[in-house]
Amino acid sequence: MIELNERQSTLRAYAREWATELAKRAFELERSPELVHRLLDLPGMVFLARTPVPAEYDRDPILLDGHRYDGGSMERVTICEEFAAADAGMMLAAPGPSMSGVLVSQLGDKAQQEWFFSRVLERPTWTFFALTEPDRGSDAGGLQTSLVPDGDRLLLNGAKRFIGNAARASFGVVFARTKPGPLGVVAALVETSLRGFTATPFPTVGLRGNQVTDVRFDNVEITMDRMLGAHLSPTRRGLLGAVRGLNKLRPGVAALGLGIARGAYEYVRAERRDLTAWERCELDEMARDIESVRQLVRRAATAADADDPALATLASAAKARASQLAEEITLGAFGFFGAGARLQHPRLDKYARDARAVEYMEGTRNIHHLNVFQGLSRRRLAS
Amino acid sequence: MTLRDLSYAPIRVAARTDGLVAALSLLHETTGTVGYGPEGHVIVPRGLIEADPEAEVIDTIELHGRLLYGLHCPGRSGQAPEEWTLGLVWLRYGLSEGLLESCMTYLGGRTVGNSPLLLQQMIKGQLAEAVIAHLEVLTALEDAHPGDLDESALAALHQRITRTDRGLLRLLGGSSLCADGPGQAVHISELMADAYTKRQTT
Ligand SMILES: Cc1cc2nc3c(=O)[nH]c(=O)nc-3n(C[C@H](O)[C@H](O)[C@H](O)COP(=O)(O)OP(=O)(O)OC[C@H]3O[C@@H](n4cnc5c(N)ncnc54)[C@H](O)[C@@H]3O)c2cc1C
Repeated sequence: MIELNERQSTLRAYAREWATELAKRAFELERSPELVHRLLDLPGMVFLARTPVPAEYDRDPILLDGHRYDGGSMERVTICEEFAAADAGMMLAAPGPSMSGVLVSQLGDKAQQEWFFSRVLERPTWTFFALTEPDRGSDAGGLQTSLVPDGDRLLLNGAKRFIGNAARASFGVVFARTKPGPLGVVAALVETSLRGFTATPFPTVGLRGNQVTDVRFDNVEITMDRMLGAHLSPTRRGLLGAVRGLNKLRPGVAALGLGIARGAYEYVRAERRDLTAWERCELDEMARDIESVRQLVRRAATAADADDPALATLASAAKARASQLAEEITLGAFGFFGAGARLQHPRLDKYARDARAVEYMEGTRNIHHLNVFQGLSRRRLAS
Repeated sequence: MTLRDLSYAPIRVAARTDGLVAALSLLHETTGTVGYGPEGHVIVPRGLIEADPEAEVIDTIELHGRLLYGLHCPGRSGQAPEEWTLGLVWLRYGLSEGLLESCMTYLGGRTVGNSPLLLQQMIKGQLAEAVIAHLEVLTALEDAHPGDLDESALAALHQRITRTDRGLLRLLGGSSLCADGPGQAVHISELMADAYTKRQTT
């Protein structure tokens, strides 16, 4: 069993309390994603807005019972599970460095990191991460958004789709192509106030708090100092360089699925007190599945924190299984209520809608199954 | 023609080609009723609500610019006649066929490397699973008259359709989450099945 240590348990207790408070506004946020601007003073939002920021840039870190948190993967999965068990949409609506922060830490030079994190700490600031395009998601290596030199700067043109928080964001990381081939993909820091940048939200069935958007770049001028990874070798920048950072983030997305499943399970426990013997067995089985996936997610998080070469395989395994669990448990939960449960229990229905979205974030189940196969064929798990 | 001989073909075709609202309106028209489920729930397209001032609107859902209401009226619990409950399975089946078509179009137009996603073996297998499930459901439906399939048989068919739809939605990638696309219709289709799926609870 992988258990949390005292530091992580403290974080879990706080996160649970914050998330429960925020979840009271979950449906309001669904109806009106702008609500988040009015929740920024709540402690959960304050924490997410400032986490994770590397210790060297955070001179005034948030301490919880004397503990400091630096954004390790085990911390991240703990926070994600707790927030998602209450309401995943609220967590994904929060400002903060989020995925872009991890990439800036991974690919950015000192000046870029200072620029990015000082702004994030200055005031609640949303960031975005733009990889997916309208014509290709899983096949990210084939992306077409272009960055073409124009005098002493570059021009960014193209479109991205499903970009969470881009309409609220001040800046984010955009992947674009400077030349054909896998080494031709680069990452740039892009400010949303630049001329030619537009982000248009569109409504979704689940996770509406995340406010995904269609983003367009129309001759957006990018200065050279915004190109991430220019100081790194070509194989360590762009998409290839980002992969390590994305692998480290993946257990967190898996934990969102885990948390949604747990939330639905706990809802049944709270609302259905007099269970038949059969129902008790079914519910116990759900609890076992949830714990088993929790262990898988923590195993991947442990690998991320230890820079274990098995990380890619473990993170994909955890993400694939957790998204499946989220769908299974949320659908199964309705079986504990009478006909019309989905209309009569909107919170449970919300868990079921949100669960569907986890499948796509950070790569689909098929893609993760392919990754796990690659781990198998390359004997990455052999020990 | 008696209700027992009702043909569900137009409802299936409407669901497959014209979508959920058209098919649901047709089901209402054909059976001449608003079929409330065992606990008094029903999903109706806007317009039919005026017919039932007693019902409480407990959910409002938009689909392609049309509004649907989730109604609750305990006084009308279990009023859905057998021709309605069988018709609903046909309707959801037709929607699922339409979803399969959407997947074929989407996957045929999308590439990995330079080849269509549709040609990936993993994807072919997943589409085949959906086809097999469809055949199973169709075989159960084809010779069934209202009343032939009991509640648990209908519930099993609904569950088979729901699981199949979920598999197909995954093949549509993130686009299955758009509120103006097939993913929203599947959500409503699930709500409809749920309104009629009776369960033993203490
Ligand atoms: C709520 C939400 C938030 C998101 N946030 C962001 C964000 O902030 N930034 C961002 O860049 N993106 C974001 N995304 C997009 C997400 O990363 C993509 O949806 C995902 O990568 C899948 O891409 P796609 O939707 O284009 O599906 P496609 O790639 O078109 O896939 C369609 C189907 O084909 C399967 N498939 C694809 N390739 C293969 C293969 N080689 N073999 C077998 N099967 C295959 C897939 O598994 C899927 O079932 C978000 C999506 C959602 C739903």
